[in-house]
Amino acid sequence: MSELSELFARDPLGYTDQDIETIVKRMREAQTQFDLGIKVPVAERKRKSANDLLDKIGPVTDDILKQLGLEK
Amino acid sequence: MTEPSPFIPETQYQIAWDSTSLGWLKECPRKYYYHMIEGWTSKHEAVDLKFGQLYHGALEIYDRYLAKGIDHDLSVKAAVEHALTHSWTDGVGPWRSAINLDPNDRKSLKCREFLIRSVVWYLDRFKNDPAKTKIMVGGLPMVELNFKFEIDYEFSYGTPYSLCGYLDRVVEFQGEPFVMDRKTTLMTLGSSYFDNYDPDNQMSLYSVAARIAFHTPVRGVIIDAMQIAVGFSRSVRHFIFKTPDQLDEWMKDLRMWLENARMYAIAKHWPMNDKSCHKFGGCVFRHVCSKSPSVRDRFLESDFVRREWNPLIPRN
Repeated sequence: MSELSELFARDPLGYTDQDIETIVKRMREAQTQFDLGIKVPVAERKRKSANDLLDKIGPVTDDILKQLGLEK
Repeated sequence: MTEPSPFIPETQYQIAWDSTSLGWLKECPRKYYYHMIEGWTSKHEAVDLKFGQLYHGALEIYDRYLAKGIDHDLSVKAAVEHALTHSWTDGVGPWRSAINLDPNDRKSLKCREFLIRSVVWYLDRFKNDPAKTKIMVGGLPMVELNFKFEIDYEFSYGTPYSLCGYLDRVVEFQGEPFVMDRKTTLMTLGSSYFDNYDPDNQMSLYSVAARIAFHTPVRGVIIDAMQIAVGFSRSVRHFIFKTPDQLDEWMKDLRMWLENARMYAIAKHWPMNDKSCHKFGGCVFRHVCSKSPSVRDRFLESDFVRREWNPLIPRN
């Protein structure tokens, strides 16, 4: 877990001034990097599951197989 | 203590109107009826509304700190702390933490981390903003202004209609006063986004409110919109100008809308505007209205909850 994720997972009532400072600093760094064309994630997001991707490409693959006469 | 009601007691006659309820009426009288009179609202959490409230709350703190003479960095920290604290519930934890949201759902972009990123990036971008918060007589900044004023039009003798709501902020930009309204969106910020606000019920009502309730004849509304995407938050400023003639025309139109509402209430029938169902991202009641009238109540009961919208109850 990154430093930022760890901070976001904590109860903000327990934050020190330094914790807030760190969050602001990391957000600013992300902006600087973004301005340079580098995307820096500020949040850990769930990965898209392989099934979601299969749902999307499945019908396309089926069409191709059909056109090639190789349908299942 | 009894809450004030925007309606004449025991009737469907609304006499205190905000931009939300008036907007529903203008979109579709049936939508207005379901939301405003019956009090139906979606069972699902209103993510956009909550995200907007947190974002506005943080920027309000920043504006108030800055107006007190506190420097930019400390004001940003106060704004961030406010957003973090208000997006945390004891015993529950963080509101919409990114890791808990389905990335296939576009709404997952409205998460807590991107909220904080949007606040910091917006405030830093406008660190030396030429739009300065106006200060009222008495020294208070014109921030998060609650208004309610009677208009020159009566429902019946001695019962005038009134307009109510909140202005985010009133600013002075290059010597001219403007209402400033901040918005968050997942849409790309181009003309197709900003065209939605000119003409627009909310922008006109805010301009009228500044003029009447705060004696500030604004030139129009500045929209500071914030687009939230996976890798960035991007803000764009847009100006909407309103002449006094345009606002007089809007007020004249308003009377006709209020008369329409009175007529529907008398008839106890709120017609469906079936050319509106698919606009604005699709009406939440679309699937209810598409059913036979005899079964609609069942669909309302199963998919919605009753939560009254009362424009007269102050925020927090």
